Amino acid sequence: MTHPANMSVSPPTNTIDHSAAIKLQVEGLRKTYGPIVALDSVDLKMVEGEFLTLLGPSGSGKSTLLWAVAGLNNPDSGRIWLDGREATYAPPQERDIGMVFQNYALFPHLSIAENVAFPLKMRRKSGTDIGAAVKNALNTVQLSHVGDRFPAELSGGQQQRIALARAMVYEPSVILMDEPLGALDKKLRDHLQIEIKELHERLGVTILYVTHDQEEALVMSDRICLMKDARIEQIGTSDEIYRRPRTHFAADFLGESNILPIESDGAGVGRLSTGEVVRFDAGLAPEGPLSLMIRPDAVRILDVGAGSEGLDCVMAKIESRIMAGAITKLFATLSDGTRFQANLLTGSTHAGVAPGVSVILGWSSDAAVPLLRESA
Amino acid sequence: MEQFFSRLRGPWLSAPAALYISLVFAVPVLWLLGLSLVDNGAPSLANYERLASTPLYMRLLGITLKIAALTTLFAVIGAYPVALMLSQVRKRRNLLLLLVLLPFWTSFLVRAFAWMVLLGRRGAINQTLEGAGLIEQPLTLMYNTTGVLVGMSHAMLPLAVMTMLPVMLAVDRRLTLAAATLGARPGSAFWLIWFPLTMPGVAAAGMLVFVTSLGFFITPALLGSERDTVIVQEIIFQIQQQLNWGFAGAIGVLVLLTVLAILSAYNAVFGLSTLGGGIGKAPQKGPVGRMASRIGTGFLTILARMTDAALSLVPQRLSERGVSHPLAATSALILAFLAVPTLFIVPVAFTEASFLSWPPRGFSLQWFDAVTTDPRWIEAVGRSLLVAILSAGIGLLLGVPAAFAIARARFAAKPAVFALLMAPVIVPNIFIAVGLFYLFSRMGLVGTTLGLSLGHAVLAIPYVLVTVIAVVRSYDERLDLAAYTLGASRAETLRRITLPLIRPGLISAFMFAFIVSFDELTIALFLTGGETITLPKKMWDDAILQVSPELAAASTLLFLFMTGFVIVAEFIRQRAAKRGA
Ligand SMILES: Nc1ncnc2c1ncn2[C@@H]1O[C@H](COP(=O)(O)OP(=O)(O)OP(=O)(O)O)[C@@H](O)[C@H]1O
Ligand SMILES: [Mg+2]
Repeated sequence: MTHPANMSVSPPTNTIDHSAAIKLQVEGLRKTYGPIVALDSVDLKMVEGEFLTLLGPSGSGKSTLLWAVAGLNNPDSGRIWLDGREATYAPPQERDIGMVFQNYALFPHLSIAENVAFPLKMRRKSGTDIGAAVKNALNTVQLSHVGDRFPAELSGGQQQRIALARAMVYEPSVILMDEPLGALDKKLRDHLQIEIKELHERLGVTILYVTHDQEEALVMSDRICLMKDARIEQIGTSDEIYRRPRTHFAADFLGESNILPIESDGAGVGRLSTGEVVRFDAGLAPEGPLSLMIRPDAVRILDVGAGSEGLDCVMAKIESRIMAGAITKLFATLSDGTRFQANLLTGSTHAGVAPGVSVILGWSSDAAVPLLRESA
Repeated sequence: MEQFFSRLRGPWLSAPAALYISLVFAVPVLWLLGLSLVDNGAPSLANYERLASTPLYMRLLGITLKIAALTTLFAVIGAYPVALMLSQVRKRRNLLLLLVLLPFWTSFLVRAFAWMVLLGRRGAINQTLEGAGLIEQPLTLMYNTTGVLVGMSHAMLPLAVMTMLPVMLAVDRRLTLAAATLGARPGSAFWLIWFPLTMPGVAAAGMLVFVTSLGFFITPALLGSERDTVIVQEIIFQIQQQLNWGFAGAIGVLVLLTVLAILSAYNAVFGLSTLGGGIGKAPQKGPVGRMASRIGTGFLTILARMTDAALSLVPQRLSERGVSHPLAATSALILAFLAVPTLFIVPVAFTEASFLSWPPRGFSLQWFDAVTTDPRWIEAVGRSLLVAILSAGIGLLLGVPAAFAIARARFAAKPAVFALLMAPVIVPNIFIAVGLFYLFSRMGLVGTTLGLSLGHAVLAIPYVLVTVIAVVRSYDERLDLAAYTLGASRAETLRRITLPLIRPGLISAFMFAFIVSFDELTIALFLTGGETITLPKKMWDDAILQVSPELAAASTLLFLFMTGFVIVAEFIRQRAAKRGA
């Protein structure tokens, strides 16, 4: 059996290849702007060919970290290595990186072809090599016909793709992208996400990507680096961060969550404020008072009378029901009034599950993540 | 009906100003130029035949063009680093800007006198060099082309800085950073990205300085020799000494054609629209523009490589955005060149001697006494203040509505109206002066305060127009709409919302117009007479005889007044701006 050639898009690999060379390493990086701490003791490692996304709320230091890697700002302390060579204070032009700026930063006085040729000219490539490489790069982003135009004559999405072509044409081994799709509409964004992902697979380039759109991060990344208040909150694959967040913030930022305070003796069994008993993996539990995080999509409705099927369950009363396409969201309260949410597949949700009805909600104890309790 | 009025309303707001400029400026000037085509009451080209056949006039034009070109070169080269530095600093920009603005607002006459104190045979520079034993004979620094160029570059530098700065501020700073990530070394990033992007500012500055220099005769007359006579002086000579209006008109046509040729060349390459500051979005693609840009790119690439090679000798280390040391040092030198000379006029005013000397002899206040008790000085100051206030008032009255029309209304004649209203600052002042003289002498207005005020208002209108247009453009019109929805009438909205918010702009406009009038000499040369004399005219008359300590004292007082005025006005403007924000 032969594989068709256009099947080359493989699903993102969710594990890092530990045998691959370390491409980028950041250690103890700190950067302040006057009294503002923009980055604080940040450590990060990326392997060759990895797609890592910096995700975090506005002002969390994503751009600052990216700019430090690009050599566009001067860190206060800490070190940066690229390809095993220290580059903390090396000027940007000596780093062999490509960068896509948030608003593209295309040179308005140069034509599209000249924009793409610029990095090659800076590398003193011969005229014929430049011509061929530019043509090739423009083909890759499917814009071979706009070479003679000027940036102002392109649409936002086209400019974005040119910025991409310009950052890749000289085959840098690392490409940094600062919210490259931030200014585009949803449809174009979805399309370009796939294009960038394809290019990444095809060229095997290492990409450090910034976004504050969690869905974008989940779709594109091998690993996600979650940032908050100038620090790294958690690094891991999309799956790890979604299934095993380590803090309230991580649980909240990536998707919806139920977070319930529990009393526990530390042996993997806890008691909710309603008195119901729940289980969790004791190996994951931090020291101190605990909360339990359960994703709404891990929750099921159990038939009254049937057994618990080995799941942990709570009694809940449905307050409201919202159909959001494929998913139906149930907002319920537990017996002591605590709010609890369950997301069910619309197609398999009985019409009788309506506001006012009491149900038993259950989840597998694997899906329950113990977190250090934070006063909300 | 309502719609009919609102449709008329916008464009018609510019009518009073347009009418005023037409009647008081355009018609007399055109009439005057028309005189050149008449000889003894019959149409004739005799004036032009004489102009073409006498080598003197072509030589004068040559001298004028040479002085203007060299002035432009020096002013633009000097202004570039200063504007670059100003565009890079953040916190101290307003303070540093004041160092450029102060010389800008200091009287041309005062600045010319200051250079006379510095450059004369027994001036500060020669005395210092001789005292240090570096020279035996005094150098000839003045009454020659060197003196003229020093004075002219000094006079034009602030204009060049102020023209370039908005363009530099509009360039996206990340573009040079992007260039660096793409592998450009600092030299390449500067010459291939930053410099071309700021080119419209350089060109606009060059054009404005050149055109202004063409009509400038004060500095050449005071600092130059016979051989530095510029063509405008010949127009004055023909009118005041020869009473030959027709021939003066012919020379005027020659000067105007030169200005027009420069303007159209500029328009072909850069487009006149870039003059308003801000960079053109897509580059001009006319054939001339393309050629120029191709040659330019080659040249810039060479510059970039040379700079990079030179820089590679010094070890490269990442440096945060900010002003580099060489740039800071260069701009400090240029700012010193701008600010320091004027200060030399202060000590010589305190001399005990009855002639200018360096270093000043002893200490005495006699010359200040002389100025402040002499009724002629007091009369001149009073007249100047009155004329400045009146003409700035007329300028606001006519200019502000016109600015609203230009900024907000859409009408076919808008470019023509705008060009008409701006013409008084593009055309050399001498034309306004001569045209007004021609008109007012018929109406008995020469030598009157009213005549002077009406004349200065011609100059005030374009300054008010430009300042207020900028403010109105940046004004969020939805605020007016919001006021309407809240029940305010048009008049109430204007009074309670619009005017308070644009007040800082109106203050700037008034200040602009006031200073332009207070400092104006060319029009005053023609429109004053007998008893009615303005301060610059009085200073000029004295300077023609001798630059005396008394003149230095008057200049010092004027300098102090202007500095105080600019600082107070700027303070009021900033306070109004803060309240508006
Ligand atoms: N040049 C600067 N001067 C002063 N403060 C700065 C500067 N650049 C960034 N900061 C501050 O540093 C912090 C981190 O900023 P950064 O731009 O890295 O955030 P970000 O995560 O990229 O946010 P966003 O998603 O809004 O782009 C913020 O508090 C910001 O205000
Ligand atoms: Mg950012």
